[in-house]
Amino acid sequence: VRPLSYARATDAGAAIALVAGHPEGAFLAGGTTEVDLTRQDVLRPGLLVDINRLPLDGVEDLPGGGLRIGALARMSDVAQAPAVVARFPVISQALLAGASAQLRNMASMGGNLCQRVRCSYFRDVASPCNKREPGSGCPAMDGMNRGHAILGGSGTCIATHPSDVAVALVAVDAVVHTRGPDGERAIGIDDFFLLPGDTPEREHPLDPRRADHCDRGPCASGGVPLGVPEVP
Amino acid sequence: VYLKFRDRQSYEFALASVAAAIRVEDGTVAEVRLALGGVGTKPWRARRAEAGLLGRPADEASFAGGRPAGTSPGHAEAAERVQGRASAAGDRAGSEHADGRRCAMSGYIGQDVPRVEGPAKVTGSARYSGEVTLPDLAYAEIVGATVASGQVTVDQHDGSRARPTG
Repeated sequence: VRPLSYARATDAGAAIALVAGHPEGAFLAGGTTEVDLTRQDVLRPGLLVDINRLPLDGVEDLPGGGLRIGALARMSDVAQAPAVVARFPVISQALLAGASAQLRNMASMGGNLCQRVRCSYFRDVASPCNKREPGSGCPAMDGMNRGHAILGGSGTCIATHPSDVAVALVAVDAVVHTRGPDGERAIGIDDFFLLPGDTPEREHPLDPRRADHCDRGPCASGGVPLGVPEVP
Repeated sequence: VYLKFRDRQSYEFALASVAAAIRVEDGTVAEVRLALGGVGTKPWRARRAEAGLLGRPADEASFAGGRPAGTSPGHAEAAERVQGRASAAGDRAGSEHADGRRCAMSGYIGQDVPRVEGPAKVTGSARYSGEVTLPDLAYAEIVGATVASGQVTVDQHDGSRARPTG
């Protein structure tokens, strides 16, 4: 493992400033993917800013029947939250269909949306990968691609987005709230995920220089509030 | 409802999945949301399928037609099947299986597959490795260190050195 620094943030503003101020800064939430990828040299953060103590782990009711799910709420907590089970069972079911019990206890909702692809070439630093090293090529095109995408791919990348709960959130028209050095943004979940196109390294509509850029770790977000439930 | 089709039933990513929410009024689809997982480079909202279902009778024929058009076989077929299942029943799990051509395990997923060693194990006739006895068999036990990162300063292994090795 290459040397990296670690800092624990006590408030969101400080966390954003720390990550924004470091050329290789990244947020650390549940760490269930980020730590693996760092060990494998796929991600190379120079500074990990631990945001686990920020008060962003709630599931709150919104006027009108919606929910606001904190970016640091754990998958297991959201899956069991009475309001989620009662009003958005699709979200609860999708969460429970993903990962394992141990991982769901650790993994955050923000990190889930921002998790990296499971393409074996992305995760193998000995292989070229346009997402990891733009312009280096994509062995998945003619390689092991059984689980790869048939919709939305480009000549540069056909990796599938791995999240289950993101699919449910897309079905209920969730809105992702992010916070960066320039303030807060609300992004419709369908727009929160970018198609690979010619820039497969960009997975979310966030400026890479901004601290809320998800490629650098879970968003230091104000939460993931859902839209008004118009479905049973 | 969220349905997920995968190679094994736990700790595995989706080959195809669907999140479906449907409101039926007087037997007619009054509102429908469909999103597909495992088949796209991003979570895939199936708006065309939604439009095709809206206002239609909530029956098998409508749901069979509410498929994403213009996609290739294999994965797409799995997605269609999963979507069809979700639409038609929601919880009619287990009886019908996606069988996309790229899914080698599809003939076995969800099926009762006899285990080769099953009968021997349940009748007690199976032989486990611990029950195998060979001539001059030596037994070893691993003793964990009580001190982390320690160094062995006293050699107390003369007894074990006298035992046969290999």
